[in-house]
This record gives sequence, C-alpha cells and structure tokens, in this order.
Amino acid sequence: MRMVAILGFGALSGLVAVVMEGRAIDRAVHQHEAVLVTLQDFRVADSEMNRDVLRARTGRLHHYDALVEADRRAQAALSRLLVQVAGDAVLEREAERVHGQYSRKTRHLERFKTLNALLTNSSMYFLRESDLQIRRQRDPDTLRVLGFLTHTLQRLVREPGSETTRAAREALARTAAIPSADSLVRHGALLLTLLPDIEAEMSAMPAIADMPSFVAIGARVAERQRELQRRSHLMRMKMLAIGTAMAALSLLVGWRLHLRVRASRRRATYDEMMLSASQALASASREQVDCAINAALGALRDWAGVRAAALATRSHTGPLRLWPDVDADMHSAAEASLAERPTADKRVSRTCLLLSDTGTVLMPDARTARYPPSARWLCVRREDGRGRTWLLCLDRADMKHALYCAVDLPLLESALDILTGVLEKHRLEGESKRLEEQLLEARRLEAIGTMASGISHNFNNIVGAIRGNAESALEQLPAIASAREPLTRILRSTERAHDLVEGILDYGRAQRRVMERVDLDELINETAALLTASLPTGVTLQVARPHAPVTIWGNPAQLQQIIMNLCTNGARAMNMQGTLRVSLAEDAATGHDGTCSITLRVDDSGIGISPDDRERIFEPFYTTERDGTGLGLATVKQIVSNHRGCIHVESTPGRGTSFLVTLPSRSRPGAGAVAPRKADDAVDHMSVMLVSADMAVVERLEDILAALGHEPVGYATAHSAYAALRAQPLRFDCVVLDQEGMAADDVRKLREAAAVPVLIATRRWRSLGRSDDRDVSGFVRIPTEPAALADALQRARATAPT
Amino acid sequence: MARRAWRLSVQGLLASLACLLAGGLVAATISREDAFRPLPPAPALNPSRVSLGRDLFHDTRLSGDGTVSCASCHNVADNGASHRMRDQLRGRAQATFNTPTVFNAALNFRLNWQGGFRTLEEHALASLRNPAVMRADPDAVLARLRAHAATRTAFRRAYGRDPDEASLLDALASYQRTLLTTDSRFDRWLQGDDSALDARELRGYRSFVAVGCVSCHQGVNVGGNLFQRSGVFEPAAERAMGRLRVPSLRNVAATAPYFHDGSAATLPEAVDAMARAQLGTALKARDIEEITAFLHTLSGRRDGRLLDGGMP
Repeated sequence: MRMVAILGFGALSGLVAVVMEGRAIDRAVHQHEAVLVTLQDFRVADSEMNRDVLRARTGRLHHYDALVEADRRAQAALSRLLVQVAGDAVLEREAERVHGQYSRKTRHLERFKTLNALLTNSSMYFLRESDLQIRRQRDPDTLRVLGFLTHTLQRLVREPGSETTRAAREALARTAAIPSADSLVRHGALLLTLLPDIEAEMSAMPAIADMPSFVAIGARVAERQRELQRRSHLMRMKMLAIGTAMAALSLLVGWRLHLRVRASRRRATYDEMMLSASQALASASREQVDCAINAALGALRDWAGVRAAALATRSHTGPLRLWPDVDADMHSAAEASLAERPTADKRVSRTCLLLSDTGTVLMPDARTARYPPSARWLCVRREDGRGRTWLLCLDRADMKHALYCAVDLPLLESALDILTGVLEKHRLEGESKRLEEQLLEARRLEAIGTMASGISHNFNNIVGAIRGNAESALEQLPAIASAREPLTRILRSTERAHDLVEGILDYGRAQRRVMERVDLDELINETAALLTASLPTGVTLQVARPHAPVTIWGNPAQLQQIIMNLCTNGARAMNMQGTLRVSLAEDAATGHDGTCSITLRVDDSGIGISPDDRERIFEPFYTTERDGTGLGLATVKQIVSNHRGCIHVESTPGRGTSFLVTLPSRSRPGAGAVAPRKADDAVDHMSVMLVSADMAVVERLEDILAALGHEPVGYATAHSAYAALRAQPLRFDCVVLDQEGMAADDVRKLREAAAVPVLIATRRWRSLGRSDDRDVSGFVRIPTEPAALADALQRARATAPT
Repeated sequence: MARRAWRLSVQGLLASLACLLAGGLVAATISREDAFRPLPPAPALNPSRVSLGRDLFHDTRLSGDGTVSCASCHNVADNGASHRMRDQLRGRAQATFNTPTVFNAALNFRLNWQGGFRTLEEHALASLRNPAVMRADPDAVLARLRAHAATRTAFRRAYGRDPDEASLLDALASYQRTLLTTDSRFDRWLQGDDSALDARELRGYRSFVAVGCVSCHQGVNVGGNLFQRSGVFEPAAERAMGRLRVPSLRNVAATAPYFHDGSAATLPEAVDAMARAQLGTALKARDIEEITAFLHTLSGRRDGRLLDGGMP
C-alpha cells in the first residue's frame, strides 16, 4: 500500500509539473504570438509607408497624413516589439538594429516629404508657367527654346541620368536668355536639383520588412514557436502517460481494497466462529471436550470451505489421536504429515505441510507462497515443548479455488493454538487432580508412619519386657528343659519384633531435621568402618570417593542411615556374597542459584529389582523379603526428601541394582563459606519441658515430640520443673504443662518463672479460655494428636519473644 | 498662314508636353478630398482626467516660481496662443519662437517650430523643465501637488493614485487632445456643403491650390505634417531658419503675428511673404486678398466661439 501511495504521489507531482510546464508553454506561445502580431503590424505600416511614398511621388497622393499615420503605427509597433523581446538578448539586439534602420528611414522620409512638397510645387508652377509662356509666345525661336526646355525636362523626369540632366541644364541655360521666362528657369533649376535628391531619398527608404534583422526576428520567433509546439506535443504525451498511469494505479488500489475487504470479511467470520467455538470449548466439561472440538472443527471446515477438517496429535511413542475419528483418509494423511520431519528452520516449530492425494509431501512455493493446485491435504503442524506434535488437517478435495497461504495460514495456526490450548488446559487439570491425590496419599502415609512410630515406642517396651522375661526364664531353666525350645522361639520372635519396631522408629525419626554442616567424605569413611564390621564376610565393600572434602548441609545420623540402609539392602540382594560399591561424585553442572549437587551411588551385583517392584520399593511396609520390615528404603526416601534431594534406581534383574542419591551441596569445595543457617531449620528443633503428674502423659508426649524432631525433657512435679527452669533459664524453648494434680502455688510459680511459651495440656475442653490462662501461648488436648501438638508448638514458637 | 499653322501646332504640341510633364509630376487637378480632410470630432476621453488636465493647464504651481501656467502663453480663452511676436514671461528670457496655438496641436505630427517633440507628453515635460517657460523641477511640482489634499483627491479620482509624473503628463495631454476647433466653414465645405464657401473664398481656395501652397499645407490640419525649408527662393522671415515644421493653417486668421519669429503682423503680409519666399512668385493683390478670404474659412469654433481674429 505504501508503494501505491508513493506511486500515486509521484503521478500527482508529475501531473502538477506537466500542468505547470503547460502553462509556461502557453505563456511563451502567447508572447511569441504577440511578437508575431507586432511584426505583422510593423510590416503592414512599413509597406503602406513605402506605397504612400510612391503615391506621393507620382502625384496620386496629395497630403502626408497617410505617411504620418503609417509612421506613427510603425513607431508604435517598434516600441511594442522592444518591450516584447526584452529579456531575449538576441532578439533585443535585432530589434534595436531594426529600430536604428527605421530611424534612418524616417529621417529620409521627412526629407522626402520636404523635397516632394517643393517638387510638387515647382512642377505645378513649371506646368502652369510653361503652358502660359508657350500660349503667349509669338517668336518661333523662343518657342523652340521653350519647347526644347519642356522636352528635356520631360525626358529628365522619365529617365533621370547624366545625359538627360546635361540636356536639361543646357536647355535651362538657353532659356535663361529669354527675359520673360525668368521664373520658369528658377523653378526648372530647382526641379533639376530636386529630382536626383528625391530619387536618392527614395532609394534610401528600403522596405524594413525585407531587411535581414527583421527577417531574423521573424525567423527566430517562428523557430521558437515550432519548438514550443514540439514541447506542447511532448507535454500532451506526458499527460496521456500520467493519466494512463493514474488510471492503472486507481485500478490497482481498487483491486487491493477489494482483496482487503474480502480478507477482513473472512477474518471477521473467522473471529466470530472461533469466539463461539472457544466459548463452547471453555465451558465444556472433561467429558464434553471431544464433542466441542468436533463441533469447532466442523465450524472451521465450513469457514474454510473444505470437505473436512481434523485435529490430530501424537506424542513420541503414543498412538495417533484424531478428532473427529471417522475418516480413514484423514488418518493416513495425518500419519504421513507426522512422519515428515520439518527440515526447514529448526527454531520454528510451526510449519505448513501440503500433501498430494497420494500422501506425498509438497512444499508451498517460496516466492508466491501459494500452494500447488494439485494439493489435497493441508496440514498445519505444531510441536509443543513436551514432544507432542499437533496437526490441523484440511481435506481440500473437490475444492476449486486455491488457498492463499499468507491470508489463511496464520488463521489456521491460531485455530490450532486455540484447540491445543483447550486440550492442554484439560490435560493440566487432570494432572493437577492426580498430584492432589498423590499429596493426600503421602499425607496419609505420613500420618500412618507417625502413628506407627508412637505405637512402636510403647510396643518396644512391651517386647523388651517379654524378651527380658524370656531371657531370664531361659537362664533359669536347665539346659535340657523342654520349655527351652518355645522360649528360644519367643526370644527370636521378640528379636524380630524389636527389629520391626526399630525400623518403624527409624522411619518416624527420619522426619527429624536437625541440620548441620556435614563432610560427606568423612561420613562415608566412618560408615564404611561400621559396615565392614557388621556386613557378612562374603560381602566386600569398595569405597570410591573424591579427594577433596565434600560438604553438604544435613543431619549426619540420617545421612549415615541412608548409606547403612542401602548397603544392608544391597548385601541382602546379593545373598550376602559379592561386592558393594559406594561412590561419591560431585556433579559438574552447577545450578542457577550457585549450588551444585552431589551424587551418592551404591551399586550391588545382586538379583536386581523387577520393573513392577521398582515402582513400589519406596512405599512403607512393602518388602520382597520374608523377614523384611519394608521400612528401610521408605526411611531412605524420607531422609532424602528431608534433605531436598532425590533418589533413583537403576536395576537390571539378575545383574544388579544401583541407587543414586542426589543431594544439593550448599557450598562448593574450596569455597569454605557455609551458608547461614536458615530460620526454618532452627525452628524445627526445640527443647521442650514436659510437666505432668501422669507419667503416661509424659511418655506419650515425649514420643510425639521425639517423632517431631524435638528434644523432650519430662518432669513429674511442677516444683522440680520450676527448679530446673531456675537453674537453666535458657535450657528450654517451650513448656508443656499438665496442671492436673499439681499444687496450685507451684503451678503459678512455674508459669511466672517461664520466660518461654507455655502450652497447657488439658483433658477438659470446657476449662479452656479461663481468665487465669491469659499468659499461656496455647492449649493441647490430652490425649494428644501429634499434628495438633506440632501445630501448637509452631504457633507458640511464632508468638515467643526472640 | 502656314507659319501660323506651324506655330499653333508647335504650341499644341508643347501644351500637350507640358500636360504630360505635369502628369508625371502632379495630377492636373486636385479635388477637395485629395489634399484635405475634415477635422475629426474631439476624442471621448476620461472626463475626470480631462477636467484635471484643464485645471493643471491653468495651475501656476506647475511653474518653478509659481507665477506662470501653461495658459500664460496658450490662452485657451482666446486663440490658444498669445498675440505677442515672442512671449516673455516674468523673470525669464524672451522665447526664441513665436508661440504656436495649442488648438488642434494634438493633430500635428511634431510639436513646436522645430518639431522636436513627437508627443504632447514629451512636450509638456520639456516645457516644465525649460528655464524660459515653466522653469520647474517636475519632482518638486509633484511634491507640491501631492501636498494638496484636493489635488490628491482629483488625481485619485482620475488615476486611482496620488500624483506622479505619468499621470501629470497624461492629464495635460488628455486635456490638449480635446482642444480641437471643429465646425469651420472649410470643414463643412469638405463634407459636401457647397454653400459653405462663397465665390471669393472659392477662388481663394483655387489660388491656394494652384499657386502651390497646398504642397505643404495639406492634410487634416492644413499643414503640420512635414518639415520644410524656410525661404526656398528668398528669406521668408526676418530671422532665417534652416528647416521648420510646416505650421497648421487652421484658425490662422486668429493667430497673428505670423512666422516663427512673429515677423509678419497680418495675414495678407504673411501670404505675400510666403509666396515670394517659398514659391518664388509674386502674387497679385487680388490673389492675396482672395487667399486671405479662403484662410478665414479655416477658423473653427471653440466653446461656440468662432476663432477668426475679428476679421471678415
């Protein structure tokens, strides 16, 4: 359009220039015409003057007004000419020359008039006098002389020349002797002098129009006029050309406008169609999505005027999905398009594919951006970032007109975007739902774990009592007593029970997060020493570790437990025979936040894990071993999660298994600096004073607090607790107080002395919120829920003075 | 007898020769339309310009000393000239020539005795500057005119602008172009009124033509359209001059004294002197008297007043 505007402007300026030129030419033509008219006027006046001179000379003109008038007109024409040619040096010079010539001519004219008047007068006198004399004269000699005089003067008039002049002079001399002819002689003598003079004056008055200067002016102006005519002709040609160009331009503009209007109409229809389709898609439920997409594709098909429109998608491995899934031809075309890898610019994931009826991929013409007319399938292709390819396929069978890539392709791409966007939205909704479910499951497991750990604590005491009693019973029995056998089995069962309970406790303890700086290298060394002692003799332990110290932020006991558990697992998987490899590697890649990660790897050469088991091995209580607790790997996973790491399994059944634990490293080796302890790390660990007359309550709370990662210290009386507080005011971070059965005075003193938050544990909810409880930081109910206690501690800590 | 017959035949031959000669030089007879034309009517010019020109013609502010105007020498209330031989204005040298009349001056092909000016404008400007005439600086004159509100108004009405040289000269010329003296008896006769001239005047006209006066005094202005030698056969006036513009003979009866130096006091004197000096002939008293009578018929009318100098 800009090109058209430039061309239009150019044509317009050309037109203006030509019109200006035309006006200039007209002006010049007009000027030249005026000059020609002036020249003609002058020529007429000049020739009239010459004619009247002759008439005056021959006695056919008896006054000089005609000559004066001709002179006046010639003078006026000359003055006009001088003005009209002003500015043209050549013409001015010639005009000046003509003016000079004419001025000389007028001087001769005036002399002619003077002489002619005298001549007329004298000849009239001579005529009258000679006639008179001849009539009166009686003397033949005198008559002869007079006759001779008349004759010679007549000859002189007819043939002026030296011979006739001489004859006239002789006749005059002879007549002079006649006294009566005195005045005749005087006038005759005058005539004799006047005649040659007047002839000279007349010959000095040429026709100015025949003079070269005058002719030159006329020729020059005529030449100019011809030149102007040529220019005028050229100008008309230019105007014709410009007019044609402008007509062509307006046709072009009209055509472009027509195209634009058509395109914007098409665009408006498209917008309307896509808007309603988008609304339908957005409001569709998960079940209705397919239906809505089919409807949108139908609308798109009608808009594009094609036989069918379809949406297809496929991930790297999955099968092809097609909406609407009815057209076998479309299916094969989509397959063919997906099989074609775009070879053009790799950065552009969108591309437009064109397939012939037989499924051959054609490419649109790069220059005209038009599709070959033989193309049947038009597929707009798009790859999202997750390895999924989307296709919008149009079946152009029986279509007469060609699709214009530039116009329609962006619209088709946007339609594809809208459709994939809807599907993506629904996919994300599904994903989020699944994650939510997973989160719920994880919480459930955590609750189970916490509870199990609480139970185990008590259960361990019971098992310990059974075991102790069984051992003492076994010691007291004679070596051959038949009761020894069942007692030994009891003892073995209690050992297993103890192991199970320990496992559960470990899993529960895995949630503790008392973090400090740990040199992993050193830790592995220590653990290796422990393992070497505890592992069966058939198992060899190889440790590969970097020479530089590797420091991470974590709990050393938990980290050690990771290694222990993995190695114990590995040893079992190898059936207590083989080589275990423990290696530590620092990953080369450094995270964007300046951290790098450390991978702890434990390889065994055991039986491996089947793919089905691999999914579940980290679930608590899932075990493949007859006497396994199913908590070892669950604990490892919990610890790794606590350390914000992750764990992977690589396993080949029959060959062995590798566990890879990746942990974030807080400082790179050699950097020396240790990141400051984060506030939430500090918050997590508290020393809690437990005060209750009921020992069951104390134990229960101790278990829960230990499971939450805190340090519980129990007191049976308020007095002893008060004494402990007085002795070590900064020992505790929080007090949990069960006032039941306590002396009121001691309780008051304790509460006054406590500079830390006090939580009241109570069995009676109705007593909560009493006025004397204003200084407490919160309440927990007996029996206590671990989550409620954790929550209460968290809030108490948050309100505590720092 | 034979001698007489021969003489007659020779006379006839010579007469026919003379006729032939005359035919070769001039036509044998000159009809009234050949040599003269009646005076045209006064041109219809812009009346405000003519009126302004008349005022300026009588305006002494046009002279350097504010004492004289054009009308000081050209008395349009009288004969368009003065009756003095040569005018002498106050504080100025005596004029070189007798003042020609301004009447019908617009029809002369040149102005003044020596014919030095082609147009009335040229002549007006020269007269303004002439120390013996107006003795003025045109710019100073214009400044004086511009200083006067009424004059400025008149110029604006006539020319749409304040006084300048062109408008001043044009106003004067416009006025002079209207100074024609129409309705002379000669003009009426030229236009076909045979009773306009009586027998004596007609005889005078014929003598005027036959003697040769018509050679120079012809045309619409009866002269005024060529130069002629002054004193072809003998001196015409007291002061000899080489070549002079032939003066017009219209209103000649009213414009005595005559000749460039005013040396001829009366018309018969002037006719006699002209015939001797220019034509080389001595006119008879009767011819002079008849020609003088004819010349009186050239007197036209100005504002209804016949300009014939009070002579019959």
